[in-house]
Amino acid sequence: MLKVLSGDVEARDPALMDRVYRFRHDFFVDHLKWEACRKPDGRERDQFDGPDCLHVVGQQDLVGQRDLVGQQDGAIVSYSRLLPTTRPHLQTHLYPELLKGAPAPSGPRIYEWTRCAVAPSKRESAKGVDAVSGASFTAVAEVAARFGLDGLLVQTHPVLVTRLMDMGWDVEPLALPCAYGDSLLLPIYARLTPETVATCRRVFGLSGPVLPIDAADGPRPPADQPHRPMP
Amino acid sequence: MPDVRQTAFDIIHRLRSAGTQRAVYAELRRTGTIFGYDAFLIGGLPHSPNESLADCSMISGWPTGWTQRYQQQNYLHQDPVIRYIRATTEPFLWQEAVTRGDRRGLTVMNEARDYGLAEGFCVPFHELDGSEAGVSFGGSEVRLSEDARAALHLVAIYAMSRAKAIARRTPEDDAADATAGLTGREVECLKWAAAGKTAWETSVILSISARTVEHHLACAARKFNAASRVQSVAEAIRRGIID
Repeated sequence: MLKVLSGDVEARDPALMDRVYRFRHDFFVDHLKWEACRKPDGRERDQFDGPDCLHVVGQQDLVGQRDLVGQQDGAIVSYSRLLPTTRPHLQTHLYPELLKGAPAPSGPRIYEWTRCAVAPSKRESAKGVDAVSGASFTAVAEVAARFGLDGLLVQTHPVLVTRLMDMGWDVEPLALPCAYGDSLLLPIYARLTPETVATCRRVFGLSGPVLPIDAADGPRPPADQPHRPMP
Repeated sequence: MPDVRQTAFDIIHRLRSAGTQRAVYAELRRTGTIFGYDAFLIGGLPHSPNESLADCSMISGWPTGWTQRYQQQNYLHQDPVIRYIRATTEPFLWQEAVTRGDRRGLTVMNEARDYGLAEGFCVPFHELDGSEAGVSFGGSEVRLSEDARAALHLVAIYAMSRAKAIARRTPEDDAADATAGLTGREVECLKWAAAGKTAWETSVILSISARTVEHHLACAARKFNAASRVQSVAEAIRRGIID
């Protein structure tokens, strides 16, 4: 089950956000070894988190019962964070050097896709894409459409850039691929096209929306004025 | 090369609008003169031992002689570059693959040299469905600066993306794309709009209500993703739907 959280969700549902930050710590610090993000309280929360960002959270489906720890919904299995580019974001405030001085698109309709994670235990294989990953990628496209976004900034491995293209994003490179740590990073602007959501669903064999039809759990970001109705 | 980044972006800009295999081929040939490779190949990796180069090649700029020899000897299954694609997500020089390969691999690479493919650079692809593919650039001397390597990596990503998109296309797609799925009535209304007629005037000409004309024009605008009637007309002219 996927949902998008927006607004002051830390005040509204502190327990859920606590689990989100713990999930991020488990994934990015413990699994991917992003030591710079290690936190003594085991909650990976940074200066970019706040009421302006969108959290796309995937949870384990529960068949009508509470899980072992008594939570009303299932364990978090996937996550993505979308940051508004009208405020400090990673491209501008963490690694502006990636673009070597070139400008990156920004504006109220452009968000930055960060902290994309799928619980390693849910990844059926290292190759290809499993059901949880497919749904979480599709959810991000659905969120972009629902919030009337034009596109997303992404800084990721070139292999994933190719996959975003296959998922129907119109990808524009913002720089050449460059070494970052011991991996390659390619900064891109992924434009949402009228076909992106449908292509995602087709590629991952999904028959319909992965997000619930009702509006986001929380208010829309104030800067957002969607003008383009999307399915 | 004055600005590798800009050079790469220009190539990518042209690749993105390449609608045919021939156009991708021509662009990669041109790119070779800039980056110093003589030949290239876009291809998938074999799924079974029965597949040959001809089955896997998507767009080939390999020398004909080498293609024939490779096919005859079925080198696809001992080519060290092909093998190394399966093991890495980072682009690599052919030499790196040879070093990690076996004697049979070395034989393939030594023979390739006789066909002018002594050195090369390969960009591996690991697809959503779990399959693998690669774009290889080869020549008698392929010496790439760090920037040139990054640029060719990006070029390979877009060349592969276009090659896949072109391979997926059907003649029906091409036709639908050109007309954006417009109905005959929508095209008629656009023609009259292009001739300067208002919705009311068009409605009189076509003996339909003005509201219906508005509706057809709104549908056409939506299909073009156009913000206004003027943009719809411009788009219809650009695509050759009306003149």
